[in-house]
Amino acid sequence: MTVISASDLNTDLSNIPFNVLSAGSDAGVLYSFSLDTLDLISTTNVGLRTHDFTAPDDAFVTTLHLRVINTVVASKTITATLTAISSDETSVPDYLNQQTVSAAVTFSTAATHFASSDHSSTSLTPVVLVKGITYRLTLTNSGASNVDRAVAVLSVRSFKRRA
Amino acid sequence: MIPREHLRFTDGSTFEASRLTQNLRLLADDVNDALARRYAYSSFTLDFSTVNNTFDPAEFAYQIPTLFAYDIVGVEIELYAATNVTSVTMTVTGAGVSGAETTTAVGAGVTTRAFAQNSFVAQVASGTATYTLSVAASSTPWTLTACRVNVMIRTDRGNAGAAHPMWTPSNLAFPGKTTNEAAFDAEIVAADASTDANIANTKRLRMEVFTRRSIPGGAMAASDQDLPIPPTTRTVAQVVTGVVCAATSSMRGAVRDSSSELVGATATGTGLSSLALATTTTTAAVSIASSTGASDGLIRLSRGTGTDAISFVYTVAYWSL
Repeated sequence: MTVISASDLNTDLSNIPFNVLSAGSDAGVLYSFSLDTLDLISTTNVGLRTHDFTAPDDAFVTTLHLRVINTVVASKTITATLTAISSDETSVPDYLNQQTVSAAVTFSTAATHFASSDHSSTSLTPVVLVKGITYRLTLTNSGASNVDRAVAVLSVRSFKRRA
Repeated sequence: MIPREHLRFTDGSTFEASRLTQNLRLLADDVNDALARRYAYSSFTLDFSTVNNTFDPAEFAYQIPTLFAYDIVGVEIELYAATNVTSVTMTVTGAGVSGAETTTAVGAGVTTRAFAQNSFVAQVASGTATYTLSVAASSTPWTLTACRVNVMIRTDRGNAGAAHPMWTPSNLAFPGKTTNEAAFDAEIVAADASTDANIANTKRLRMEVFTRRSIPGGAMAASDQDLPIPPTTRTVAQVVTGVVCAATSSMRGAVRDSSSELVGATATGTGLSSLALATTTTTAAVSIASSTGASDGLIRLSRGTGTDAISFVYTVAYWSL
C-alpha cells in the first residue's frame, strides 16, 4: 500500500498555478501609431490630416506626442487629437468610445522640432484602446499659413498579462 | 487571470484518484490559458498617399524581409481617392507567406473616406513578404489623394525563445487503479515545462515602418527626415532600407537615440524601375528614455551619396522589446 503525503501533493499542484500567476506571460509593452502630414494647413485634404486605425489588442495610451517643423512666422496652434470613431455598443461601454486625448503646440515665431506631449496617465480617466474599435488621429492647424510638417505619435502600452 | 480553485488533499484520508484527475485538468486549463496569451500585438502603416498613374510599379510594393515569423491578423485600407479611381486592393505575397487574403476598398471621392477592414490570420514564416497595392481606375489620370494600409500583426514570444509546449494531461486513468506515481510525475514535469517556457519567453517582436515619397533632388529638407518613436528600453534587431532612385544616389535609414545613430542600413539605388534593399542586423541594446522633443528616439532617413530625386524610400525597424 502506498502512502501519499497530502501536503506534498498539494504543493505540487499549487506551485504551477502560482508560477503562472506570479511570473508567467507578459509585462506591458510599448508600440505606436503615427500620423505624418506635410504642409499642414486647414485646407489640406482631410485624408492627409487624419489617420484611422483599428486597435489590434487592448491597450492604454501612454503619450500623444506632437512634433512640428515650422519655418513660416505666423501665429498658429497645431493640435493632434485622438477619438474613437466606431463602436460595438453591445460589448464596449460608451465611456470607452467617448474618450479623447489631445496635444497642442502654439507658435508665434518660426521654430523647428518644436514638440509637445500630453500624458494620458496624468488624467483622471486613462485613455484605453479596445481591440476591434477604430480610432482616428487628427491634425489641425489654426492658422492660415502652413507648417512644413506635423507628426503625431500615439504611444500605447499593452496591459500587463498576468496569466 | 485568477487561477482556478483546486481541490485540496488532507492527510489520513483515502486517496481519491478522481480528485487528482480533476486537479490536473484544472491545472492544464490554467497553463494553457496562459499560453494562449503568449502573443504580442502591434501594427505598421504603409503609405501610398500621393501615388498616381505615372508612378513606377516599384513604388507600389513594400518588400519587408521576415526577420521573425509573425501572423497577419488584419489589414485595413483607408482611402481618399481622386476622380477615376474605382478601387484599391492590397495583396501579400512571398514564398514564406500563407493564408493571406486580398483586401479591397472602393473609392468614394477626394474628401470622403473609404475604409475596408479584413480580419484573417495569415502566417509570414520566412523570406520576404511583399505588400503590393493595385489600383483599378476607369481612366487616367488618377491620384490616390490619401491612402494608408494598416497591417495588424501578432508575434509569438515562443518564436524568440524556447519552444512553447502546450500541455494536455494524457495519463488520467487513475480511477479504480493503483496510483501510477510515474505517470503523475510525468504530468507535473510536462506542466512545469510548459509553465517555464511561458515565463522564459519574454521577448516581444515588433516592426515600425517609416516611409517617404517624391523627395526632390538636392539637400534633403528637415521635414523629410525623422519619425519619433516611443520612449522605451528596447533592442534593435534589424534595420532594412528600401529605395527607388537613380544608381548614383543612396539613402540611409537609421535608428537613433538622443544623440547619435545606433544602427542603420544604406541602400544604393538601382534605377527608377526597381527597388533596392539593404539590411543590417544587430543585437545592440538601445535605451530611448525621453519623449520631450530634442532628445527623442528617432528613425531617420538621410542621404548617403548623390543628390538625385528619391522616388520612394522606406525604413523598417525590427524591435525585440
